[in-house]
Amino acid sequence: MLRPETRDWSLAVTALSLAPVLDTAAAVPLRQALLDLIASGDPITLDGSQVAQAGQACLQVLASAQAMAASIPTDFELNSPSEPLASMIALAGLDSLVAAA
Amino acid sequence: MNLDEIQQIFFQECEEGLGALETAFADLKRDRHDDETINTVFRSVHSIKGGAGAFGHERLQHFSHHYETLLDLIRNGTLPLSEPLIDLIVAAFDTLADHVAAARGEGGMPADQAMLDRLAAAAQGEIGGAVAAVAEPEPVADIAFAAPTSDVAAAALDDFDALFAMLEDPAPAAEPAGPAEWIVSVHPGPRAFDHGAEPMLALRELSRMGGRTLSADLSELPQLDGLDAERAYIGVTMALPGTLDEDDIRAVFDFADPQCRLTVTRADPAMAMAIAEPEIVVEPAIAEPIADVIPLPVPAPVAPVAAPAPAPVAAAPAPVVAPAPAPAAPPAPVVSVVEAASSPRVAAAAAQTIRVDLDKLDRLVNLVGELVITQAMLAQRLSENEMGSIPELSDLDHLTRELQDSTMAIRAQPMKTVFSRVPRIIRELEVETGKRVRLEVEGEMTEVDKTVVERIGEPLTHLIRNAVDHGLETPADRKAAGKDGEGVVTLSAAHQSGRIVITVADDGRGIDRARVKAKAIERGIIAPDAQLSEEEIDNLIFAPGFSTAAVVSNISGRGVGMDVVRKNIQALGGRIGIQSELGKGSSFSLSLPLTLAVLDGMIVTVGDQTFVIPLTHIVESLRPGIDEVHVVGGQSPLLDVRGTYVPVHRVGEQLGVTGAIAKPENAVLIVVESDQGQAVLMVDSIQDQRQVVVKSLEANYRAIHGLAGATILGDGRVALILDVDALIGRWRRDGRGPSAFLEDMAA
Repeated sequence: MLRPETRDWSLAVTALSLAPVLDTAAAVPLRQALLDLIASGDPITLDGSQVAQAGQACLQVLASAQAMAASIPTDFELNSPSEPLASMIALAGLDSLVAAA
Repeated sequence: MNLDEIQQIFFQECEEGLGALETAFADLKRDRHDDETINTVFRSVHSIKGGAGAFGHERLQHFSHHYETLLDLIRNGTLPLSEPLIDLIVAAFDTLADHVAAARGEGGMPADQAMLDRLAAAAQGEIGGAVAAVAEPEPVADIAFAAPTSDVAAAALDDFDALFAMLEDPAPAAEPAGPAEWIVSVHPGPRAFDHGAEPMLALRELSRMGGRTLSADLSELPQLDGLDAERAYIGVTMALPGTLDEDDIRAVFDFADPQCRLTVTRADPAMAMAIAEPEIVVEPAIAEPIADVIPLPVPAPVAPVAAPAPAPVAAAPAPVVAPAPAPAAPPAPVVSVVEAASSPRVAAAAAQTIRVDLDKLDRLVNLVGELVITQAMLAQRLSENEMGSIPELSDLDHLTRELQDSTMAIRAQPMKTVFSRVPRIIRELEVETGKRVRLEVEGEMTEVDKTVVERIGEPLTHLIRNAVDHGLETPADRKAAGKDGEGVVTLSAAHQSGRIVITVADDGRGIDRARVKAKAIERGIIAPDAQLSEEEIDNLIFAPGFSTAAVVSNISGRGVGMDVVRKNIQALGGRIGIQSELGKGSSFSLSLPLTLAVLDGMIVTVGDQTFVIPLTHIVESLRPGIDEVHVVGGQSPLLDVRGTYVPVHRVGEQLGVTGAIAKPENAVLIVVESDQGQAVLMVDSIQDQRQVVVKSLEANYRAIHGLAGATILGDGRVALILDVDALIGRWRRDGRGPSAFLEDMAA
């Protein structure tokens, strides 16, 4: 579900492109991938430009990851959210996901 | 259960809703309605609208919204219920049914603009081109329907919700005041994602209704490492326009998971001020209690409602809670906390009915059938060992039969499900033929097996069309004949002697037997010199290719209807009877078994074979005296049944069974009633009379003319069930004997 664009552990920033379909089925792998990223200790940058569909399961995974990153603390950014992703984020009241970017 | 299956439930509920509407319309048309009738109509349309929104059927939702708008005006007394208005809402119902069919993928999207225009015009008091008398033509109506004097009013005319607000509130339209906004808090249950459900769809629907998200409730959201990705944690609070109907908002969640926590409240004045646009003057809010108050404690503080604002995130500790910048008003007093699972209405409905997959039910029916067979085998085995009279066997027999009856009762459905489609057919026929028809329905709650319900629809439609097209005269002809211009078609269902009898009757011109006979001769169906009884002439209309219609229409007249009707009815184990009187009308009676899975039969022996004769055909059985059977001119023997001579058919001879008794005086004669009249079946002996489980020959072997199926007897042998109508019909028609039957079997 996650498409690593760059996965160079020597880099300070790990950028991931979110998959086009973030439905409930995508939530489990997304959670695991984000846990792995957080465990790496690197700043987390997500690219939301390819997302065509997003459901609540993935949105709450993102929100939870953001909170966990903040508690470590590790930088967490969701960049370039597509219109469908941005509208779902707004609808769910999770504006903080993109506001932090 | 996945989303498609849930949607199927919605469609089933649509069907039920449409059925309820038809019933209500029948009451409306007969002037037997009260306030509850129109409430029923409103609720049915409202439910369809709610489900349509939840599943994204926008056109259906759009149409039902405007339909509901008009109904609401009738419901609240703004519009008096006149005959043209009834005609309009019935016509709109047909469009609604088309929309439902289109949503199911069973037809194209109906062109509804003209109907929407009519609904809109009627909502403004214009019905049938004239302005109807509005119940309360006070200033309220003036404000609502007068030419707009401001932009707000102009917009309101395009928005019925706003229009309602204006009707409800006599304040000048120019003032952008109205009821306080709705504050809707939604917290999906933990299993909200099960079966592919997506809670965001409901939020999107609220958004389309004008809602805007105020905040998220993340108080239950755990850290990522403790998060179950397939469990719902977050809730959302939205503000919706106060002009919306609360029911509309709740309807969005009709299909939400049962544990969804939904709170719908009016914003309190402080809240209204806080969330209102600064330049809009908001009147003091209505802190009205909502009708279905359920004093449940609020499980957790609802996230503070706040104006959307950028929120600091990076430092937010977990669990993440949307920060609430001032002026964060406390949540409005929660006057209505409704958990779907705890709603008395929902709970009551759930307690009364349960939806069961038909395959599971059929499996149960089959198993009970096997149990019946096994019970019979056990009885036989015990009987062979002189233990046939033990009380336990009698108890088992009793319980088995009760179990079977109860199982069959589960499959029983009221004929209403079929009858509810008829009013629309009648309406369409009225338009097509220009005739005026009143439909009378009786016994619609009569229950019959689901298979029968499913398969009776088509033949019934043919009969209804036939009754209107051929049976009823035009209004002018009726008046000339001294009848009311409006014809009556009566549809009835009733249980009679273990069968269901469905009757389609009309008060039309009746069957013109001279014309029918002439037509039959013209078409070569009968010989010119044929001597036919009235009953036989009536039955000619079931002959393939027969039609007396001078003009072939798309309704009937092609002569492909009535023979198909009879075939379909016979396939259901049924018979058709006709009663007709010239100038007074006709009546077609369909006699059908209540279920196709079991039948009461007489077990008879013929030679070395055992057959089952369905009890419904049997009039009497007897051992004839030697002087009661007569042979005339070398033909089949005739039995003198109280002065009437009835032909005797030697079952053994005609079915090619060896070793059968040849002399009638040594045999048992069974008088049967068939659609060809009475006949006598000659068998060797009667073994028993009992309920047998019908096993389909079609499903297990292939269809054989003259046999209705097979069953397994107590000794494990297979017995064939005679199709009395088919056998006697064939024997009478062509006198085919055993060789023909054997050819059929071998083919």
